[in-house]
Amino acid sequence: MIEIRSVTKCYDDIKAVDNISVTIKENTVFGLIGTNGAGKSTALRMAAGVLRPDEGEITIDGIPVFDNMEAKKNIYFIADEPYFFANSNAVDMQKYLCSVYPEFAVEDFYNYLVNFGLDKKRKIGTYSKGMRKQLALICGVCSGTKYLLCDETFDGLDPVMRQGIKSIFASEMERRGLTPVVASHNLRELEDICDFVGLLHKGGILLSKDLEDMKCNIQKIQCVFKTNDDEAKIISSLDIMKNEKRGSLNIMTIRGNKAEIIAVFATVNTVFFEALPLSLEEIFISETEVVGYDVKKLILG
Amino acid sequence: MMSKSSFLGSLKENSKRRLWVWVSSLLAFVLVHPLTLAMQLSQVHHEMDWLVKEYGLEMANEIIRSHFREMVIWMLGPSVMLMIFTVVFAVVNAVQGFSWLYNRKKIDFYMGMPVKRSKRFLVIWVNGILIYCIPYLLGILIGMLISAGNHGLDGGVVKVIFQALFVHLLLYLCVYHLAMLAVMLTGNIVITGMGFVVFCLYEWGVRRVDYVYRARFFRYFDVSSYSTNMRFSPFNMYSDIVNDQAGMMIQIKTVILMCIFAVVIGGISYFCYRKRPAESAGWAMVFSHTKPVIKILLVVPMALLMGDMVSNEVRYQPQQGMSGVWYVIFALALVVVLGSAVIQVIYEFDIKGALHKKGHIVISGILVALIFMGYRYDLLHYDSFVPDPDKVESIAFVPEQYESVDYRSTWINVKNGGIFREGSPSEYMNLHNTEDVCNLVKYAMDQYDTQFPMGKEMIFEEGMDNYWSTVKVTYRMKSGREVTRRLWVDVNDQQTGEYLDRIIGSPEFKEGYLMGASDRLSQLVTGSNDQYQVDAYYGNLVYEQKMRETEITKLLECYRADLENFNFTRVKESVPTGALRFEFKKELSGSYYGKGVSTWELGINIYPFFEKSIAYLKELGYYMDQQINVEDIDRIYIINQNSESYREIQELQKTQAGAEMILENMPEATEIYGKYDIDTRGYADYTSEEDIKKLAGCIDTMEMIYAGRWDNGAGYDSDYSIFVYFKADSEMNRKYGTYADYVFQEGKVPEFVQEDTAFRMEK
Repeated sequence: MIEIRSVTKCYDDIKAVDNISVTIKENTVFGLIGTNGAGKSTALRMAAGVLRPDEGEITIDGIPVFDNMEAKKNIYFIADEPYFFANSNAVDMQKYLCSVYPEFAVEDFYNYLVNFGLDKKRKIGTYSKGMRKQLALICGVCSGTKYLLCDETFDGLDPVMRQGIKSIFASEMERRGLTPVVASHNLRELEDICDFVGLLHKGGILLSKDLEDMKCNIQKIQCVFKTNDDEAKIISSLDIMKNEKRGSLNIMTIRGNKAEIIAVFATVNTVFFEALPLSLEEIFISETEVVGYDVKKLILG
Repeated sequence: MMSKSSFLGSLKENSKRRLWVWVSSLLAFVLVHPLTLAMQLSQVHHEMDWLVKEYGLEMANEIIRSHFREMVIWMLGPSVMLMIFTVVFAVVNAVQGFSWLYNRKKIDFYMGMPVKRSKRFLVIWVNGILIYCIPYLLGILIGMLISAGNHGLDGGVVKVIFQALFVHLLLYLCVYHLAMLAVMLTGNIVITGMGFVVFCLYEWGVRRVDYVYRARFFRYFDVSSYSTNMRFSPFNMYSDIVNDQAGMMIQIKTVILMCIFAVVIGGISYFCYRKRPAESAGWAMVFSHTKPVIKILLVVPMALLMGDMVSNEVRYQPQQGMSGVWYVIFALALVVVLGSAVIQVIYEFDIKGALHKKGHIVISGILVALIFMGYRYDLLHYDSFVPDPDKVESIAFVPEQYESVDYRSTWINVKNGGIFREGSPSEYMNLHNTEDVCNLVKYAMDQYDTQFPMGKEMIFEEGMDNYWSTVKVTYRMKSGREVTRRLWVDVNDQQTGEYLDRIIGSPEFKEGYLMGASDRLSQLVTGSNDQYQVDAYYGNLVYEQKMRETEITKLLECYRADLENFNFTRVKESVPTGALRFEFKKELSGSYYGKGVSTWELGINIYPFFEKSIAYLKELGYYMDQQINVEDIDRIYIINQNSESYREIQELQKTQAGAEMILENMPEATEIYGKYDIDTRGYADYTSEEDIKKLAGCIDTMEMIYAGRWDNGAGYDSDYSIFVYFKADSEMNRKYGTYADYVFQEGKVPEFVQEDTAFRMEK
């Protein structure tokens, strides 16, 4: 488990991360979302033990991570612009990583290279940006560490590759309990990968929740009430997060269990009633609007 | 705990990232250096034919072997080439090894890995040393094989080669750590380069500021005793170690100092490495709290140095009237503002940064003003310092060029059985009559300050420079502190004369200042030091007699007895009748400089009041009543410049305009010499034995008598030039040459010579 407790980091006068606290559970895919400059990279670099927090503490399985080899043995950090040795190829990188990570899976490494269509003898400098990200991910997955921290690694990967990576994550999670932490500025990139999501904004965490919980706890209902009394009864009985009216049609975002909400609606007269599925974006928009943020601007630009 | 195999594996991995440095180092040490040695040796081979023709085969072989040996020592010993390679690779290895700290991508990669910071540092550090040492060792091995093939290798040479390896390794470590420290404190390579240059030159800059400001504002500052040498520069320390003349003790001390330097700088570098924040990659300065300190420490000496340069231009100095102070202040202020602005721009990589942190400009300005005023107004009372005699343990009172014997030294430094030109009598002089010296210093300073007030242009009246003479005074305080001042004394002043009689007449002064008064000279002469061949001569430096060892030993005893009567006034009133001249010769074979002879000369004056010495010299038959032997002389030719007449005519030409006026006043001069060509010289040629005899009693050799003596004693009349021509068949003609220069003592020119050479208005 990665625990980030009240961590703050400043660069000169700029507060990059402001008192964030997040817990990343094992065997889940954690997505860290935020706009550019939100503090995602700083948070990940601190979690990887590269940066020392000014305040607070970060522990990996209970061990402080900064300058601690025991903790770092369990982490592989892929930076937003992964570094490879000058004039090196995939084989050179594998040899180096083998000297650092004793459990590096050499066979898997070469299998993944073949599966992803990467030439092991070709100089990495001649790879495309996407190919370099794929290689970095392969290096990270094969390093044998428990936690894989990926900073914007999925941005720019095509859907087929993302699906490929997702399946690798799934199998590694199942096989050895890999816990990937993925930072991105794009919610859509993470929707199909993450189990947990943390939203960062201006250095602070807005929310951190299980995606399934979020999906189960927020419902979108489209209905037309027979009378105004019916509408008033529903509004007073349920936790309405948002109520949008288009003529007589009400589109409501309601916090709560789907069955319970339907049961409440059964007590009033409706001309039309429909429960709609919610996208991750919609859930986020609803959640953040409650606390006063216009998340559309934050995440979707 | 790090396992050996893991460490070696890490070294191997690190080496893969540093291949180009390995290749460069191998090329330099294993290819370029041995190749240069081979080429140099081959050039020596080319001399063989000529040497065989000139000296015969056996001798030529001997010379060639000696040349090979010298060449091998020159190339594989502490050579310039190896020194340059050492410095270049030290800087390159430090910067290349730790350059990953400049790059955020590399930092994320390396620092995310489960590798201890200390291990990573150690691997890079060790590898940086191996990149230097392994090629160096291979290079000298190849060089030694080449040398052995050319008969240029023996035990002595091998020793020098390995000594040089040790010294170069020390130099390497010092420079390597200094460059590492520059990397650790900065965030990009340009600033690292600037930082390294600052590290190398900063001490020089600070010492230079102190030196130039003391020299400018402190009239009693002794320039000669102030060293601007950088004590903490690896280059300077290296130069001290390889300098043969430095002496074993200094070399050992410097080796220890270099070791300490390397360890301390290395330790600081490691500390900075551990404390360096990962986010500092690309920043100008890694530790933000060092920024203002470094800025101020750079700006202050820069401004003061510029202030000195402008002071020179506008003649802002106490001796020249202190004009142009506003230019100096403007220059100081300008450099403070511009310097701070430029450094801030560098810190921020933004031209707009020039206007930031104005507080630093204010602090720098205040510091510059305080330091400048500290020197200008002598706030620390440096210049007026005269110690309390009770607090002084002993004093060295060294008059400058007192008691000179022509161009020969009156003093040589004998240390550890060797002779050194460096040093001064100060080291051996321990005057305990501190009250006399301190009183004289106070008196002389008062007189000087009254005569030449501080801040007003110094105007020397005619002849003044003859009697204002300089003395270097070194106070050895009871506290262990040593203070040196250089002051002027009016040697014509009666009170000063009395002080000087007591000081110069004291046995402690003679022991320290006069080589002949101490055992040091006797020990060199009596052969207790077999490093030197000693020859001694007595004469007037034209006529000379070589003396035997027993004679010179006895003469030195007489001389020491005569020194009882030696004091300032007696010497001032006298002209030496002769001098003892010593030649010390030492063969320099086996040195880096090859074979040769090093010679030192020392002179000791014999004055007319040295009765015992003169009696002994007479007994030996070496003493000359007159300064020439009349029988050797063919003729004496005298030229009188008649400078008084010359000045008169010149004065007329200056003050009276137009040819008519000159014609009117001195028609005959104009008629003879034209308007401008004035020749007032008078000539006399004495060839008769009678004239030569008359002159023999009143002329002295040019070498024995001076104009401008320290004590303003009897000098020679510079109007008269005397050429004493030796007879063609005389011994002197063969030994000395065709003629010798002689002079008349001031006020002792015979009347008939004055008459014969006077200026006359005739062609």
